[in-house]
Amino acid sequence: MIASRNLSLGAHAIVFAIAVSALGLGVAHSLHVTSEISHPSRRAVSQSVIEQETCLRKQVRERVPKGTSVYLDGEVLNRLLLEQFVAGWAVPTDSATNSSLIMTLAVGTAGGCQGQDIRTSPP
Amino acid sequence: VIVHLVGATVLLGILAALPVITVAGLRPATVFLCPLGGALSAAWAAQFELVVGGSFTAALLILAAVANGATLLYLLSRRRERLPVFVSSSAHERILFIDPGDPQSRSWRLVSLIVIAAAVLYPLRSLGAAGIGFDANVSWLTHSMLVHGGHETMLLWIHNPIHVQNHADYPPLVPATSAVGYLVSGGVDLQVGIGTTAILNACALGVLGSGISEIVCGGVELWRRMIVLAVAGAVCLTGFGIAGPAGINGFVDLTWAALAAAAVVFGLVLPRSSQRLWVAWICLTAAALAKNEGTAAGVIISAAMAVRYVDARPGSSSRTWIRRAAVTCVLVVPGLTWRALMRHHHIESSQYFGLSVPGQPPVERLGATLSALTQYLHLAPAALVVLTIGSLALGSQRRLLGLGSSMYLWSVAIVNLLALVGTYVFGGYEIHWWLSSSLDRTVIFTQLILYTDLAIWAAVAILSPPTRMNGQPPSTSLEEASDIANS
Repeated sequence: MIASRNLSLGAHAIVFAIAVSALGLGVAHSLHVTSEISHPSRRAVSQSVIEQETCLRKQVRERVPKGTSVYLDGEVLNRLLLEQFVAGWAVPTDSATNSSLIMTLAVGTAGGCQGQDIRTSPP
Repeated sequence: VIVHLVGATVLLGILAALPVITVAGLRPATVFLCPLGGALSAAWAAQFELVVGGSFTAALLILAAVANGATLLYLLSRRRERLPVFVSSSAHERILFIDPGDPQSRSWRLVSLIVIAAAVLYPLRSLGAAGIGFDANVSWLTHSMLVHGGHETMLLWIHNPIHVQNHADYPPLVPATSAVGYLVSGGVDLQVGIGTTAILNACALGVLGSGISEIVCGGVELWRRMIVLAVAGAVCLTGFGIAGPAGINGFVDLTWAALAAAAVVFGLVLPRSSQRLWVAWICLTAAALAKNEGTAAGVIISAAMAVRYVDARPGSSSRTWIRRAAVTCVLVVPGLTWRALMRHHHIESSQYFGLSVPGQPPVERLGATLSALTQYLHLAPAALVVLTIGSLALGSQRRLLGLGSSMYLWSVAIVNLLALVGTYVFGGYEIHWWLSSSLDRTVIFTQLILYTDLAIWAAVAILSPPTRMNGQPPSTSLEEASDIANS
């Protein structure tokens, strides 16, 4: 009877100890991740990227009339970003000849949005 | 931005507060469930906008008015018939445990709410510091602008062949919630867009943590209750840790994973009750409308809930399974509306399947997938040891607490994992690139389920066996007591 009770208590202790240790490691990892993400230097970089994207969206609205059909030119990743900038504003087309404007994302330019610029040209 | 995010959360909560409180009752989880209910309304409003036309705001107001009006009518009819206005609480609460009118019980609920809220709000202090994830940018924020833009914009976009890589078929819960944020901020604001996603993540983890804390029963010493609460809070914190930057940079993987895990806890672990069934249903429907993986998980969880809630009757096994299939359909159909809509518009994520990658036979892809999985499932051996010892030594105590078998939880996790492995093996992307760019996010659900199971076993271990409810051991299990009360 006593041996059975001790065995049961031992099982309780093992289950509790393993579970709490694993959860404790999980919490420690989470706190580490949170403090790493919110480090001021990282925050500054992220803020700058968000400001850049907001600026590029603003450029699209200034340089492209609403509802214009645009051909997004460039590499796949840049084209996907451009799709986001024109979402709800201009209409992307699948060929330059069907569009009113060709739009590209110029990288490494002086001025513009922290080195990036929306360029438009006729088809 | 903070003001706009708080405003959006309050608006979402107000839109759904009456229906959610009516079906889920007043429990800590309800506080987190109200904004999620609002997000669900927003997701259906986006579908309404796509099908019927008009603006997102009009669709949202119409749906909110219909949901609140229907709830008011229900409450008035219950009052006229002198019936309790809320959906019945469980036997778990009525028979043995918490009396809702007891001041001590009310203060305990408040303490639970504060601890869980602190656990889910703490990681949000890094909001804005993780930037915008690439997928968040090109898919989720883009879709949120389309929802915000109105019927014409949405329709034009989803039928534009140029957007093949933009996942036009992705479900609308998160974009629609961001669109509610834009209504509050007065226009598209990228920080508000990703902030609303992080708030959805926090609310979903809040429901999960509150569910785990509901294992606590009345008549238990305060220190034992506090340990269970700490364990529940630990799961919430861990959720953000597993997701890493993806928890706060606009990705929706933590959203569906936490919602699905909350559905598992309320539908498959906690003692059966109509209120908990409603909470589980809201969570799994929201998960299904959050991401395609959530849709698959929603179907799996619905089927498991049907098995648990529809009892087998002796001598009529085929009829039992027909009833279970019917219940699965009832549970899962509201979450499948978007998929049906996309099929109607001939929009599919065709790049997932049917494209063979040269030089990558399925066996090689399987090996690469399993090898990559081991990096993320290092918790599995510990969870298996706890499951084995727990089932052998604490199984009866678990049943006495009225909790569902761990097998439900593990079955859901394993079936979901098999579906994930199948997607990688038979999918159409180059496997090494695909695994390195997505596996850390697609296994969040499995990891969260493992942590949840560990937390539940820790709670069972601390609440039993020296614990005696009201000084006496219960003569029947709560599951049985619940059945008696419900019958």
